[in-house]
Amino acid sequence: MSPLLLILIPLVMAPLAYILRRLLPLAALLSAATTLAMIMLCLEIPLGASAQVLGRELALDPLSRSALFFLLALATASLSYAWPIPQGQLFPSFVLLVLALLIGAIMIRNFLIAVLLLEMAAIIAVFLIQGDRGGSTGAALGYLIVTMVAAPLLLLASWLFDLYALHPEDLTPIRYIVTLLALGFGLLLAAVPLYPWLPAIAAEAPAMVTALVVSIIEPAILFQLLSLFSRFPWLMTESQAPLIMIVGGLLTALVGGIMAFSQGDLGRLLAYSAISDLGCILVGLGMGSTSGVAAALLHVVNRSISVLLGSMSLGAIRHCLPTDSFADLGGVARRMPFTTMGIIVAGLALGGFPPFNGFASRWLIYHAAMEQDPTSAYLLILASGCVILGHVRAIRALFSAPKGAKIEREPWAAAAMIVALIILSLAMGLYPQLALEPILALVEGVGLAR
Amino acid sequence: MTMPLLTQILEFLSSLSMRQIIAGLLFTSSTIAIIEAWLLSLPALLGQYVLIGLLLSRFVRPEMAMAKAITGGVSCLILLLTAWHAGWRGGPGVKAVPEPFRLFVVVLAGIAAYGLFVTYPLQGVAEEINFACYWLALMGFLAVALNREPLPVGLGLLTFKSGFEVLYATLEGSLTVAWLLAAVNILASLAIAYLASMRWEEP
Amino acid sequence: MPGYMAFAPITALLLGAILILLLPRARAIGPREQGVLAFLTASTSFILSLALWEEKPLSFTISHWRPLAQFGGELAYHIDDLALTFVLLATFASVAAMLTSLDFLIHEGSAYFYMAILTLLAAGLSSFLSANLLTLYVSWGFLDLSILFLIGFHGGKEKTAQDLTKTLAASHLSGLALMTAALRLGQSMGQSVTFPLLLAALLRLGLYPLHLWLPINMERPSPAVALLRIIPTSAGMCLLMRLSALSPQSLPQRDALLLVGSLALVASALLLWQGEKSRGWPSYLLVNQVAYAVLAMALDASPRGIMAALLQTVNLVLAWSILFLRRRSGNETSPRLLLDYCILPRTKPLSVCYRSICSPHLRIRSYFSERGFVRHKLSHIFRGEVSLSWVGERVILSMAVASLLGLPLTPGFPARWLLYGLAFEGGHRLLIVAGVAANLITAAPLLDTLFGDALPRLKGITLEKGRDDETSRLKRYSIRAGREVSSESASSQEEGKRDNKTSPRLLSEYRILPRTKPLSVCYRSIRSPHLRILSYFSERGFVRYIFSHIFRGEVSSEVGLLGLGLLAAPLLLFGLIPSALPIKVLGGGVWLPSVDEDVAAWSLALLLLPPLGGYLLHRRGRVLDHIGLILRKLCAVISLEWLYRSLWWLSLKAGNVLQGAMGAIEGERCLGWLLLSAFVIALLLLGE
Repeated sequence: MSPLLLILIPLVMAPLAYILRRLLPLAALLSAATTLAMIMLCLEIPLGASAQVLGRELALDPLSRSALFFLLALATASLSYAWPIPQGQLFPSFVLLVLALLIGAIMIRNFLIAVLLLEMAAIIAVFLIQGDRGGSTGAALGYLIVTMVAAPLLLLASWLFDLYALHPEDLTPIRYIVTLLALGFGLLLAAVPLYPWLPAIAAEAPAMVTALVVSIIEPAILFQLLSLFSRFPWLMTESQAPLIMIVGGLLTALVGGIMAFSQGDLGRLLAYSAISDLGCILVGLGMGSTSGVAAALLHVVNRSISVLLGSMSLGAIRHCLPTDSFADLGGVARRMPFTTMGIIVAGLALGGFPPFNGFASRWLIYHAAMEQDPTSAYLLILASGCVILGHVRAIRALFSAPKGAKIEREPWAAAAMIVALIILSLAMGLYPQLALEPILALVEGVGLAR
Repeated sequence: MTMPLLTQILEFLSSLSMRQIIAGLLFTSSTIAIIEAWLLSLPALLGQYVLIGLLLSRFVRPEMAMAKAITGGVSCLILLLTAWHAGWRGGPGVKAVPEPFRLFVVVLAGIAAYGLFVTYPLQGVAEEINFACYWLALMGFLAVALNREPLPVGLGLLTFKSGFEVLYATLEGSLTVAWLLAAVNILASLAIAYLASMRWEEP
Repeated sequence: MPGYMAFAPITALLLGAILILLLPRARAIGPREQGVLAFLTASTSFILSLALWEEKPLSFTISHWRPLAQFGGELAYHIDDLALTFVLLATFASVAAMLTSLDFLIHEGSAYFYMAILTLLAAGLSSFLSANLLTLYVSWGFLDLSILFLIGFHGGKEKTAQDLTKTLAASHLSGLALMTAALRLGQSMGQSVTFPLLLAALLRLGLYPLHLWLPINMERPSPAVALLRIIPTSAGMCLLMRLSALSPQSLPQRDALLLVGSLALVASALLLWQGEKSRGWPSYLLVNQVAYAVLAMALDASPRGIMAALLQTVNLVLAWSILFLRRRSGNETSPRLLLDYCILPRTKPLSVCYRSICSPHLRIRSYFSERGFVRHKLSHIFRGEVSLSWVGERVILSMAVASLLGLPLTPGFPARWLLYGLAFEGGHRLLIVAGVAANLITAAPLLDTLFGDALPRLKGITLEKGRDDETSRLKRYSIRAGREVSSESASSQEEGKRDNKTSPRLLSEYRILPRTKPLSVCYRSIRSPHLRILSYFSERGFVRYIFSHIFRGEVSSEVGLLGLGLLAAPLLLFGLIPSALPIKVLGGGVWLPSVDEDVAAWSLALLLLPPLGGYLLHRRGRVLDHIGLILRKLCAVISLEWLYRSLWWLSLKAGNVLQGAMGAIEGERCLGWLLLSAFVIALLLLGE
């Protein structure tokens, strides 16, 4: 069985889903079934299976299989959610296109091609960000600008990698490589100060599209970063990349946390919380040790789950209320208790509040950071405190007195999905070893750590 | 009748000197940055792509130069259809930056581009490519920064991308990569077209 | 006994919470059954905790966080003397609180409400049983979530939302301090660990000026609000006692702690005095009592200090709960009111009212005068015309107040005795002065609570002292006993309509009177101006009546009294035999430190004189009303509400500014900002 199937199947099913776009629930379920089938296929394809595409090798190794499994599971959840609460006519079909490109980027063993595939996936996401919404195009345009500025930087870095490989005695390109990678990945991941596009998306785009960008596309980008560290170990040992990641990560966590505290609507609050969480991941990766990298990877998983949960709850709020501004959330807690719990759990998990999943991975990162540099641990703790306080404000708004307008209850299917993710978050918070042990084995096996 | 005309155009274009090509690029990119009206900007973009194709044909394989030109043509067609259908005018409450100010900023950016070309010349790259890369990239950024509407912003992005591709085509000789970059450009044009058409839908 | 039994009390509570949430959705049980199920779940948890008594020490790992080296710990419980003492205290207090407020639970509870109570209790037990700081931090997170749901679903008004914000913010800060300590524990010992632990414990305890989290706006005497204060306070106290294992000689920052504790004593006493008239007195009383416990630990972190703190904790939990929950069984349960009516001074004839008794309305007139009060109480007691429940409640209240004041025969006494003894030994005169002053100031409002509401109050009815036109007063004071409306004036009809809001419960409770004699006989025989209501209980009838009325939703105040009695029983026990405390910290049960006679005399004087002074203040309260305005202003300053509100306001304003600034660079306007940032980053990275 060829790994090419994992790319071809969504490419084939996407037009079908597009044809069915007027019957949105059916299109969503068809797409969800497709991704579910792809999960099973991913587990069936033997490790090491490869194919040649565009003159480059496409292969499935343990790291890429784990990444695919995770991304497909999240995609299945997102597409299933689009059944009770539609996310736009293009959502089911274009998500499949994005997935096809991301899968290609993860499996292909060439950084240059992977960057181009990622860029294409991001540009397709622009359609989803705009959705069926007329009028303002700021968020989508912002993402398009970021993508088209970041990709060239990464392509230039890729060329410099090849140049350095030809002349390893010349260390000059290393600085340029690191600078270009920092700018390129910083733009695509929304690290501080290159982040303003993400809150705009969270505020304007449909909730599941925000989840797509943060929970699915960003992990695929992080996967590329990890692959670079794995293929070019000198990045971690002979360059300033680790220091840049740690400093950048701390800045991202702090600024994200402070900004999260100052927000007045749920969408932006979720975005800044995710940005702050990204800072933790970067610090973990920057530490370079096995425990740090494993903690960072576990945190990627937990962050994606938490953002997905937060987006589902945000989508339910927007489905039943005109806005998600704090001023208009009065009475939501009583009328939509499951959605309220979803927002609370997602927010607290992103802030590292026990006993949810975000705490376990943050604890690992803090623990690893304390061994190397306690100051970074304290700064991360401070950032998490700010995120929690931001969510305390949201909780206050949710529990405040109703403003008068009758609030509908969320659809039962959406409530069920929210509850399922809450249970998952709790389970992973109390039993993180279930995910950490396989991740550790991967890190040690693939040689991702110093 | 058409064929001799086409042959004449091609001969004329082939006979253009490097300086003329660069001057043409300066003119087209400045037009894109200064003029908001699509009736002038889109032909400027088309001309820009043709000139880029001509420029690259002097340094890389003809197939790659052809890929750039064809991509540009397709992008311009997509944007032309969109502009024709959706229209292109200032949005409610969005004040367009006046042209004199744009001209002033373009002049400043031009000086900056020249300064970069002189101070930080790219190693192993021809001077013309070097200058064209800086100029197009800066003009592209300028067009994005000075506009709010999707179509003008999109033209600016495509201009910026062209500047990068002018450089990259000389560094990376793979045809696969060239076609992939072309696919990205077309996709970007489609995205810009979609945003432009949604801009004028009812919220 | 297998290790997982350590988890049994918590499991019972969580299972009960889930059942209560799910069964109503399946329409298997109604609101009444939910309340009973909640009560039974809490009782089961208490019984399971008792069963663990013989099995300690016992350990159980909830989740093996592997690899251990990476995590630095795992989630585990450990049962020892201290943990089990707190567990038993918390579960016992919860059971008693629920019993006291069973009518409230049955009539006003909801599934979310019960779930929140039970999870709060489960979280509290988890905190007590935690085997390490990591587990404790996770348990505190669980505790904060339960508090969130309880406050959130219990209220619905703006002030509740304010309480929620303050509570969560302060709780989270204490959690962060705890987490910092847990992280540092693996690295080193010393101040870097003990200080954040101390800060975490004090924040959780709510010691002034860190009393931010106390929900001052939630004053309703329900078991939920009681537990909302008791459980976190106990969790903080447990951590403080555990801290002594890290610092056996003395707690960190001892001198500062003594100073802050003394300040807390006096400040909380003043706030209590002021709060008694307006709001917040339960919280301020708690802060006051917590200060004593903290001072005991600060003076001596050895077993003596722990013993004093533990006794004070028991005193605090039980006595405070009695005072707080007793307000529930105050004005709205009329048998006591009715029976209080027996205590009518014989100054005015009531023959007029009984002449008109043939109407369907029962008319009761009651008023008090100070002269006749005690005499008539006693006379009616000896004539069997006063209910035992009223007397019992007064006795229990007196015990609670005495315990809080540190009077003999209550656990407050040995706690204060130890505290003053330690203070004398250490030469801490400031602390002694603060303690005496605080006790003096606290005594007055506590005695007000004991004596001040002897006047029964009915909704919609005002009682007037002094003489007036009897007939019109009778009309005003009428209480409708049935659905028929009297043929009286419209004004009294209006009064009656208001009265009707209370009468259904009055009626239901009339039925609790054993029907050995028809009421008509009683009233026919009334010739004297007093209303005589014969109430008595026979043992045969009592239990049957209670349970029949529980299941008909007609719970009487006697069940509430049983709950209060449950709380009072251990007060009496530990007051008489302090060494009966299950934790053997002193060995041999000798609790009195050997002090010389002078110190003992001084201590006794310092314990007994302030309450006496407080009683004088209570009687001559009018003198202090003249300085009421100064007092109010002082209390407004020392409550620190203005400080926390200002900080919150400042942070919100700063947030708004940041939000506005960020809005200018989001979306399609981001390119300029991105370019600038990229330029700066490139300069930094490329420039050497």
